[in-house]
Amino acid sequence: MADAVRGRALMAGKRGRPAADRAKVRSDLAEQVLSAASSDILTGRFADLSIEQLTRQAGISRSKFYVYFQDKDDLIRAFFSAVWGETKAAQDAWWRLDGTATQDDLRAALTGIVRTYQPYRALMAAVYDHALHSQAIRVEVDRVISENIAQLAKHIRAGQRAGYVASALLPVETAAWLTWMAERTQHALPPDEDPAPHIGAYTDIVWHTLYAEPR
Amino acid sequence: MRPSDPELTTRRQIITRLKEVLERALADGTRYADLEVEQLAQDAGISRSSFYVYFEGKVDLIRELADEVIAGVIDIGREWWELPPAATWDDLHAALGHMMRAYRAQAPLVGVLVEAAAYDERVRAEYLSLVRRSRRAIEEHIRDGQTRGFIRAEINPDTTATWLTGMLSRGSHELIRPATPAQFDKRLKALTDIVWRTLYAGVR
Repeated sequence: MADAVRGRALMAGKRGRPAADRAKVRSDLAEQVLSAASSDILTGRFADLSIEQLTRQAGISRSKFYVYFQDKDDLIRAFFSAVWGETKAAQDAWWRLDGTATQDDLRAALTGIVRTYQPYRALMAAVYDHALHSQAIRVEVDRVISENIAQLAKHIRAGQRAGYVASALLPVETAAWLTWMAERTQHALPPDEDPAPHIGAYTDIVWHTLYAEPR
Repeated sequence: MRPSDPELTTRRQIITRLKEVLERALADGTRYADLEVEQLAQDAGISRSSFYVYFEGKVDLIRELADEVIAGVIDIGREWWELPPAATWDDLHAALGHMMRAYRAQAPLVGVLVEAAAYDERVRAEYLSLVRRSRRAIEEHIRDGQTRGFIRAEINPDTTATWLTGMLSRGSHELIRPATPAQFDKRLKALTDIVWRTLYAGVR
Protein backbone atom coordinates (compact mmCIF):
# COMPACT_ATOMS: atom_id res chain seq x y z
CA MET A 1 0.00 0.00 0.00
CA ALA A 2 2.82 2.39 0.86
CA ASP A 3 4.12 1.82 -2.64
CA ALA A 4 0.76 2.69 -4.14
CA VAL A 5 0.82 5.94 -2.20
CA ARG A 6 4.34 6.65 -3.41
CA GLY A 7 3.23 5.83 -6.95
CA ARG A 8 0.48 8.41 -6.69
CA ALA A 9 2.93 10.89 -5.17
CA LEU A 10 5.13 10.46 -8.27
CA MET A 11 2.18 11.23 -10.52
CA ALA A 12 1.22 14.19 -8.36
CA GLY A 13 4.77 15.46 -8.83
CA LYS A 14 3.94 16.31 -12.41
CA ARG A 15 1.35 18.72 -11.09
CA GLY A 16 4.07 20.42 -9.07
CA ARG A 17 3.61 19.45 -5.43
CA PRO A 18 6.89 19.98 -3.52
CA ALA A 19 7.01 16.64 -1.64
CA ALA A 20 6.30 14.81 -4.86
CA ASP A 21 8.97 16.86 -6.66
CA ARG A 22 11.48 15.70 -4.13
CA ALA A 23 10.40 12.08 -4.62
CA LYS A 24 10.80 12.49 -8.38
CA VAL A 25 14.25 14.06 -8.08
CA ARG A 26 15.25 11.34 -5.63
CA SER A 27 14.22 8.51 -7.97
CA ASP A 28 15.79 10.14 -11.05
CA LEU A 29 18.99 10.77 -9.13
CA ALA A 30 19.09 7.19 -7.86
CA GLU A 31 18.83 5.94 -11.42
CA GLN A 32 21.54 8.34 -12.60
CA VAL A 33 23.99 7.34 -9.86
CA LEU A 34 23.38 3.61 -10.29
CA SER A 35 23.60 3.77 -14.09
CA ALA A 36 26.99 5.44 -13.79
CA ALA A 37 28.07 2.62 -11.46
CA SER A 38 26.57 -0.20 -13.55
CA SER A 39 29.92 -1.69 -14.57
CA ASP A 40 30.95 -1.87 -10.91
CA ILE A 41 27.62 -3.48 -10.04
CA LEU A 42 28.12 -6.04 -12.81
CA THR A 43 31.58 -7.00 -11.62
CA GLY A 44 30.56 -7.23 -7.98
CA ARG A 45 32.62 -4.21 -6.91
CA PHE A 46 29.63 -2.09 -5.91
CA ALA A 47 29.97 -2.97 -2.23
CA ASP A 48 33.51 -1.55 -2.20
CA LEU A 49 32.64 1.79 -3.80
CA SER A 50 32.73 4.86 -1.59
CA ILE A 51 30.11 7.61 -1.84
CA GLU A 52 32.95 9.79 -3.13
CA GLN A 53 33.60 7.41 -6.06
CA LEU A 54 29.90 6.94 -6.76
CA THR A 55 29.15 10.63 -6.94
CA ARG A 56 32.28 11.41 -8.97
CA GLN A 57 31.31 8.80 -11.59
CA ALA A 58 27.77 10.20 -11.75
CA GLY A 59 29.01 13.79 -11.96
CA ILE A 60 27.18 15.05 -8.88
CA SER A 61 28.50 16.48 -5.63
CA ARG A 62 28.77 14.50 -2.42
CA SER A 63 26.63 17.05 -0.62
CA LYS A 64 23.84 16.69 -3.19
CA PHE A 65 23.93 12.92 -2.66
CA TYR A 66 23.40 13.39 1.07
CA VAL A 67 20.49 15.77 0.53
CA TYR A 68 18.58 12.87 -1.03
CA PHE A 69 20.10 9.67 0.38
CA GLN A 70 21.33 8.55 3.77
CA ASP A 71 23.75 5.98 2.36
CA LYS A 72 24.18 3.41 -0.42
CA ASP A 73 21.42 1.15 0.93
CA ASP A 74 19.04 4.09 0.84
CA LEU A 75 20.09 4.75 -2.77
CA ILE A 76 19.18 1.16 -3.68
CA ARG A 77 15.82 1.51 -1.90
CA ALA A 78 15.07 4.70 -3.83
CA PHE A 79 15.82 2.99 -7.15
CA PHE A 80 13.60 0.00 -6.37
CA SER A 81 10.73 2.26 -5.28
CA ALA A 82 11.04 4.25 -8.50
CA VAL A 83 10.95 1.17 -10.75
CA TRP A 84 8.17 -0.34 -8.66
CA GLY A 85 6.11 2.86 -8.90
CA GLU A 86 6.56 2.96 -12.70
CA THR A 87 5.61 -0.66 -13.30
CA LYS A 88 2.76 -0.81 -10.81
CA ALA A 89 0.16 0.70 -13.16
CA ALA A 90 1.16 -1.82 -15.85
CA GLN A 91 0.84 -4.69 -13.34
CA ASP A 92 -2.63 -3.51 -12.32
CA ALA A 93 -3.85 -4.03 -15.89
CA TRP A 94 -3.15 -7.75 -15.40
CA TRP A 95 -4.89 -7.96 -12.02
CA ARG A 96 -7.99 -6.33 -13.53
CA LEU A 97 -8.49 -9.19 -16.03
CA ASP A 98 -11.52 -11.32 -15.20
CA GLY A 99 -13.63 -14.10 -16.68
CA THR A 100 -14.40 -12.04 -19.79
CA ALA A 101 -10.73 -11.57 -20.74
CA THR A 102 -9.32 -13.25 -23.84
CA GLN A 103 -5.76 -14.41 -24.53
CA ASP A 104 -5.26 -11.17 -26.49
CA ASP A 105 -6.26 -9.14 -23.43
CA LEU A 106 -3.67 -11.03 -21.40
CA ARG A 107 -1.06 -10.42 -24.11
CA ALA A 108 -1.82 -6.68 -24.05
CA ALA A 109 -1.44 -6.57 -20.25
CA LEU A 110 1.84 -8.53 -20.26
CA THR A 111 3.15 -6.41 -23.15
CA GLY A 112 2.54 -3.34 -20.99
CA ILE A 113 4.49 -4.87 -18.11
CA VAL A 114 7.46 -6.04 -20.19
CA ARG A 115 7.72 -2.74 -22.11
CA THR A 116 7.45 -0.56 -19.01
CA TYR A 117 10.17 -2.59 -17.37
CA GLN A 118 12.41 -2.66 -20.46
CA PRO A 119 14.35 0.59 -19.82
CA TYR A 120 15.36 -0.68 -16.36
CA ARG A 121 16.08 -4.25 -17.41
CA ALA A 122 19.88 -4.17 -17.75
CA LEU A 123 20.44 -2.19 -14.58
CA MET A 124 17.95 -4.28 -12.60
CA ALA A 125 19.60 -7.49 -13.85
CA ALA A 126 22.94 -6.24 -12.52
CA VAL A 127 21.35 -5.19 -9.24
CA TYR A 128 19.68 -8.62 -8.85
CA ASP A 129 22.96 -10.42 -9.53
CA HIS A 130 24.57 -8.24 -6.94
CA ALA A 131 22.00 -9.36 -4.38
CA LEU A 132 24.20 -12.44 -3.89
CA HIS A 133 26.83 -10.23 -2.30
CA SER A 134 24.89 -7.47 -0.62
CA GLN A 135 22.46 -7.96 2.22
CA ALA A 136 20.88 -4.55 1.63
CA ILE A 137 20.07 -5.35 -2.01
CA ARG A 138 18.90 -8.84 -1.08
CA VAL A 139 16.34 -7.32 1.31
CA GLU A 140 14.97 -5.06 -1.44
CA VAL A 141 14.87 -7.87 -4.01
CA ASP A 142 13.00 -10.10 -1.55
CA ARG A 143 10.54 -7.33 -0.76
CA VAL A 144 9.70 -6.66 -4.42
CA ILE A 145 9.48 -10.35 -5.31
CA SER A 146 7.28 -11.14 -2.28
CA GLU A 147 4.99 -8.27 -3.18
CA ASN A 148 4.69 -9.54 -6.78
CA ILE A 149 3.99 -13.09 -5.61
CA ALA A 150 1.35 -11.86 -3.16
CA GLN A 151 -0.42 -9.81 -5.86
CA LEU A 152 -0.47 -12.68 -8.34
CA ALA A 153 -1.63 -15.16 -5.65
CA LYS A 154 -4.45 -12.76 -4.78
CA HIS A 155 -5.46 -12.60 -8.46
CA ILE A 156 -5.38 -16.42 -8.70
CA ARG A 157 -7.59 -16.79 -5.60
CA ALA A 158 -10.09 -14.22 -6.90
CA GLY A 159 -10.16 -16.04 -10.24
CA GLN A 160 -10.69 -19.39 -8.56
CA ARG A 161 -13.63 -18.00 -6.55
CA ALA A 162 -15.15 -16.52 -9.71
CA GLY A 163 -14.37 -19.65 -11.73
CA TYR A 164 -11.99 -18.30 -14.40
CA VAL A 165 -8.73 -19.66 -12.94
CA ALA A 166 -8.09 -23.41 -12.64
CA SER A 167 -9.37 -24.48 -9.22
CA ALA A 168 -6.69 -27.15 -8.65
CA LEU A 169 -3.79 -24.66 -8.69
CA LEU A 170 -1.99 -23.75 -5.44
CA PRO A 171 -2.20 -19.93 -5.53
CA VAL A 172 0.99 -18.95 -3.68
CA GLU A 173 3.27 -21.67 -5.08
CA THR A 174 2.08 -21.19 -8.67
CA ALA A 175 2.51 -17.43 -8.29
CA ALA A 176 6.04 -17.94 -6.94
CA TRP A 177 7.25 -20.01 -9.93
CA LEU A 178 5.65 -17.63 -12.44
CA THR A 179 7.15 -14.58 -10.72
CA TRP A 180 10.69 -15.98 -10.65
CA MET A 181 10.24 -17.05 -14.26
CA ALA A 182 9.37 -13.49 -15.30
CA GLU A 183 12.21 -12.03 -13.24
CA ARG A 184 14.93 -14.36 -14.56
CA THR A 185 13.84 -14.45 -18.18
CA GLN A 186 13.37 -10.71 -18.60
CA HIS A 187 16.75 -10.04 -17.01
CA ALA A 188 18.46 -12.50 -19.33
CA LEU A 189 16.96 -11.02 -22.54
CA PRO A 190 19.53 -9.17 -24.65
CA PRO A 191 18.65 -5.44 -24.50
CA ASP A 192 18.39 -5.06 -28.28
CA GLU A 193 16.26 -8.15 -28.87
CA ASP A 194 12.65 -7.65 -29.98
CA PRO A 195 10.57 -8.66 -26.96
CA ALA A 196 7.42 -9.54 -28.98
CA PRO A 197 8.13 -13.29 -29.49
CA HIS A 198 9.08 -13.55 -25.82
CA ILE A 199 5.88 -11.82 -24.74
CA GLY A 200 4.08 -14.40 -26.90
CA ALA A 201 5.67 -17.30 -24.99
CA TYR A 202 5.08 -15.59 -21.62
CA THR A 203 1.40 -15.07 -22.52
CA ASP A 204 1.04 -18.65 -23.69
CA ILE A 205 2.51 -20.09 -20.47
CA VAL A 206 0.40 -17.87 -18.19
CA TRP A 207 -2.77 -18.35 -20.25
CA HIS A 208 -2.58 -22.13 -20.28
CA THR A 209 -1.46 -22.40 -16.66
CA LEU A 210 -4.13 -20.15 -15.22
CA TYR A 211 -7.07 -19.51 -17.50
CA ALA A 212 -7.40 -22.18 -20.20
CA GLU A 213 -9.52 -25.08 -18.98
CA PRO A 214 -10.28 -23.49 -15.63
CA ARG A 215 -11.66 -26.71 -14.13
CA MET B 1 42.84 -36.52 -20.51
CA ARG B 2 44.43 -39.99 -20.90
CA PRO B 3 43.91 -41.90 -17.67
CA SER B 4 47.24 -43.63 -18.22
CA ASP B 5 49.04 -40.35 -17.61
CA PRO B 6 49.98 -40.67 -13.92
CA GLU B 7 50.01 -36.94 -13.28
CA LEU B 8 46.49 -36.49 -14.66
CA THR B 9 45.25 -39.47 -12.66
CA THR B 10 46.62 -37.91 -9.48
CA ARG B 11 45.06 -34.60 -10.40
CA ARG B 12 41.70 -36.32 -10.99
CA GLN B 13 41.91 -38.09 -7.65
CA ILE B 14 42.74 -34.87 -5.85
CA ILE B 15 39.80 -33.08 -7.47
CA THR B 16 37.45 -35.90 -6.45
CA ARG B 17 38.71 -35.79 -2.87
CA LEU B 18 38.49 -32.00 -2.70
CA LYS B 19 34.94 -32.19 -4.05
CA GLU B 20 33.93 -34.53 -1.23
CA VAL B 21 35.56 -32.31 1.37
CA LEU B 22 33.89 -29.26 -0.12
CA GLU B 23 30.44 -30.88 -0.18
CA ARG B 24 30.79 -31.89 3.47
CA ALA B 25 31.89 -28.40 4.50
CA LEU B 26 29.02 -26.74 2.58
CA ALA B 27 26.53 -29.22 4.03
CA ASP B 28 27.70 -28.16 7.50
CA GLY B 29 26.79 -24.61 6.59
CA THR B 30 30.29 -23.23 5.91
CA ARG B 31 30.32 -20.53 3.25
CA TYR B 32 32.71 -21.10 0.36
CA ALA B 33 34.14 -17.61 0.81
CA ASP B 34 35.14 -18.51 4.38
CA LEU B 35 36.91 -21.75 3.49
CA GLU B 36 40.70 -21.64 3.76
CA VAL B 37 42.87 -23.48 1.23
CA GLU B 38 44.87 -24.74 4.19
CA GLN B 39 41.80 -26.44 5.68
CA LEU B 40 40.51 -27.80 2.36
CA ALA B 41 43.90 -29.33 1.57
CA GLN B 42 44.34 -30.79 5.03
CA ASP B 43 40.89 -32.41 5.02
CA ALA B 44 41.59 -33.87 1.58
CA GLY B 45 44.86 -35.33 2.87
CA ILE B 46 47.19 -33.23 0.74
CA SER B 47 49.59 -30.47 1.64
CA ARG B 48 48.92 -26.82 0.99
CA SER B 49 51.81 -26.73 -1.47
CA SER B 50 50.44 -29.71 -3.44
CA PHE B 51 47.14 -27.85 -3.69
CA TYR B 52 48.97 -24.97 -5.37
CA VAL B 53 50.76 -27.35 -7.71
CA TYR B 54 47.38 -28.21 -9.22
CA PHE B 55 45.31 -25.06 -8.65
CA GLU B 56 46.02 -21.35 -8.79
CA GLY B 57 43.55 -20.84 -5.95
CA LYS B 58 40.05 -21.55 -4.73
CA VAL B 59 38.38 -20.13 -7.86
CA ASP B 60 40.48 -22.44 -9.99
CA LEU B 61 39.07 -25.43 -8.09
CA ILE B 62 35.52 -24.20 -8.77
CA ARG B 63 36.31 -23.92 -12.48
CA GLU B 64 37.41 -27.55 -12.41
CA LEU B 65 34.29 -28.66 -10.56
CA ALA B 66 31.90 -26.61 -12.73
CA ASP B 67 32.09 -29.09 -15.58
CA GLU B 68 31.21 -32.04 -13.38
CA VAL B 69 28.38 -30.23 -11.60
CA ILE B 70 26.94 -29.12 -14.95
CA ALA B 71 27.03 -32.60 -16.45
CA GLY B 72 25.21 -33.86 -13.35
CA VAL B 73 22.46 -31.26 -13.53
CA ILE B 74 21.85 -31.89 -17.25
CA ASP B 75 21.74 -35.59 -16.56
CA ILE B 76 18.96 -35.29 -13.98
CA GLY B 77 16.77 -33.44 -16.47
CA ARG B 78 16.85 -36.40 -18.85
CA GLU B 79 14.07 -38.33 -17.09
CA TRP B 80 11.67 -35.48 -17.89
CA TRP B 81 12.48 -34.92 -21.54
CA GLU B 82 12.67 -38.63 -22.25
CA LEU B 83 9.15 -39.30 -20.90
CA PRO B 84 7.14 -41.42 -23.36
CA PRO B 85 4.26 -39.83 -25.35
CA ALA B 86 1.60 -41.51 -23.18
CA ALA B 87 3.06 -40.16 -19.92
CA THR B 88 0.53 -38.82 -17.40
CA TRP B 89 0.55 -35.90 -14.92
CA ASP B 90 1.74 -38.39 -12.28
CA ASP B 91 4.67 -39.46 -14.47
CA LEU B 92 5.67 -35.83 -15.00
CA HIS B 93 5.29 -35.18 -11.26
CA ALA B 94 7.60 -38.13 -10.50
CA ALA B 95 10.20 -37.08 -13.10
CA LEU B 96 10.28 -33.46 -11.94
CA GLY B 97 10.37 -34.72 -8.34
CA HIS B 98 13.54 -36.73 -9.00
CA MET B 99 15.04 -33.77 -10.81
CA MET B 100 14.30 -31.35 -7.94
CA ARG B 101 15.51 -33.78 -5.27
CA ALA B 102 18.73 -34.36 -7.19
CA TYR B 103 19.07 -30.61 -7.66
CA ARG B 104 18.64 -30.10 -3.94
CA ALA B 105 21.42 -32.59 -3.21
CA GLN B 106 23.71 -30.69 -5.61
CA ALA B 107 22.44 -27.28 -4.57
CA PRO B 108 25.33 -26.22 -2.31
CA LEU B 109 27.83 -26.78 -5.14
CA VAL B 110 25.55 -25.11 -7.69
CA GLY B 111 25.22 -22.22 -5.24
CA VAL B 112 29.00 -21.83 -5.10
CA LEU B 113 29.06 -21.95 -8.89
CA VAL B 114 26.40 -19.23 -9.21
CA GLU B 115 28.20 -17.09 -6.65
CA ALA B 116 31.58 -17.51 -8.35
CA ALA B 117 29.97 -16.79 -11.74
CA ALA B 118 29.27 -13.25 -10.53
CA TYR B 119 32.97 -12.43 -10.30
CA ASP B 120 34.87 -15.00 -12.38
CA GLU B 121 34.67 -14.85 -16.18
CA ARG B 122 35.41 -18.56 -16.76
CA VAL B 123 32.96 -19.83 -14.16
CA ARG B 124 30.40 -17.43 -15.63
CA ALA B 125 30.96 -18.93 -19.09
CA GLU B 126 30.55 -22.45 -17.69
CA TYR B 127 27.36 -21.46 -15.87
CA LEU B 128 25.90 -19.82 -18.98
CA SER B 129 26.71 -22.96 -20.93
CA LEU B 130 24.69 -24.96 -18.37
CA VAL B 131 21.71 -22.66 -18.92
CA ARG B 132 22.12 -22.86 -22.71
CA ARG B 133 22.35 -26.65 -22.74
CA SER B 134 19.26 -27.01 -20.52
CA ARG B 135 17.37 -24.58 -22.74
CA ARG B 136 18.41 -26.52 -25.82
CA ALA B 137 17.29 -29.84 -24.29
CA ILE B 138 13.85 -28.41 -23.42
CA GLU B 139 13.52 -26.89 -26.89
CA GLU B 140 14.29 -30.26 -28.49
CA HIS B 141 11.79 -31.94 -26.18
CA ILE B 142 9.08 -29.50 -27.32
CA ARG B 143 9.89 -30.03 -31.02
CA ASP B 144 9.95 -33.79 -30.55
CA GLY B 145 6.63 -33.71 -28.68
CA GLN B 146 5.05 -31.58 -31.40
CA THR B 147 6.24 -33.95 -34.13
CA ARG B 148 4.91 -36.94 -32.23
CA GLY B 149 1.72 -35.14 -31.22
CA PHE B 150 1.93 -34.98 -27.43
CA ILE B 151 2.77 -31.27 -27.11
CA ARG B 152 0.52 -28.46 -28.33
CA ALA B 153 1.42 -27.50 -31.89
CA GLU B 154 0.95 -23.71 -31.37
CA ILE B 155 3.84 -23.46 -28.91
CA ASN B 156 6.97 -21.64 -30.04
CA PRO B 157 9.70 -24.15 -29.04
CA ASP B 158 12.50 -21.58 -28.98
CA THR B 159 11.03 -18.83 -26.77
CA THR B 160 8.93 -21.18 -24.60
CA ALA B 161 12.10 -23.14 -23.79
CA THR B 162 13.78 -19.87 -22.79
CA TRP B 163 10.99 -18.98 -20.34
CA LEU B 164 10.74 -22.48 -18.88
CA THR B 165 14.52 -22.59 -18.39
CA GLY B 166 14.37 -19.21 -16.65
CA MET B 167 11.68 -20.57 -14.35
CA LEU B 168 13.59 -23.76 -13.57
CA SER B 169 17.02 -22.22 -13.07
CA ARG B 170 15.96 -19.33 -10.87
CA GLY B 171 12.99 -21.07 -9.28
CA SER B 172 14.88 -24.14 -8.14
CA HIS B 173 17.52 -21.93 -6.56
CA GLU B 174 14.98 -19.72 -4.79
CA LEU B 175 12.12 -22.15 -4.11
CA ILE B 176 13.50 -25.69 -3.97
CA ARG B 177 16.90 -25.29 -2.29
CA PRO B 178 15.59 -23.66 0.91
CA ALA B 179 12.22 -25.51 1.04
CA THR B 180 10.99 -27.47 4.07
CA PRO B 181 9.58 -30.94 3.18
CA ALA B 182 6.00 -29.57 3.24
CA GLN B 183 6.95 -26.58 1.07
CA PHE B 184 8.86 -28.87 -1.27
CA ASP B 185 5.74 -30.97 -1.96
CA LYS B 186 3.53 -27.96 -2.68
CA ARG B 187 6.14 -26.25 -4.85
CA LEU B 188 6.73 -29.46 -6.81
CA LYS B 189 2.98 -29.81 -7.40
CA ALA B 190 2.76 -26.19 -8.61
CA LEU B 191 5.74 -26.69 -10.93
CA THR B 192 4.20 -29.87 -12.35
CA ASP B 193 0.89 -28.04 -12.96
CA ILE B 194 2.62 -25.19 -14.81
CA VAL B 195 4.67 -27.49 -17.06
CA TRP B 196 1.77 -29.91 -17.59
CA ARG B 197 -0.80 -27.25 -18.44
CA THR B 198 1.65 -25.28 -20.63
CA LEU B 199 2.87 -28.20 -22.71
CA TYR B 200 0.70 -31.28 -22.53
CA ALA B 201 -2.81 -30.57 -21.20
CA GLY B 202 -5.53 -31.32 -23.71
CA VAL B 203 -3.08 -33.14 -25.97
CA ARG B 204 -1.57 -35.91 -23.89
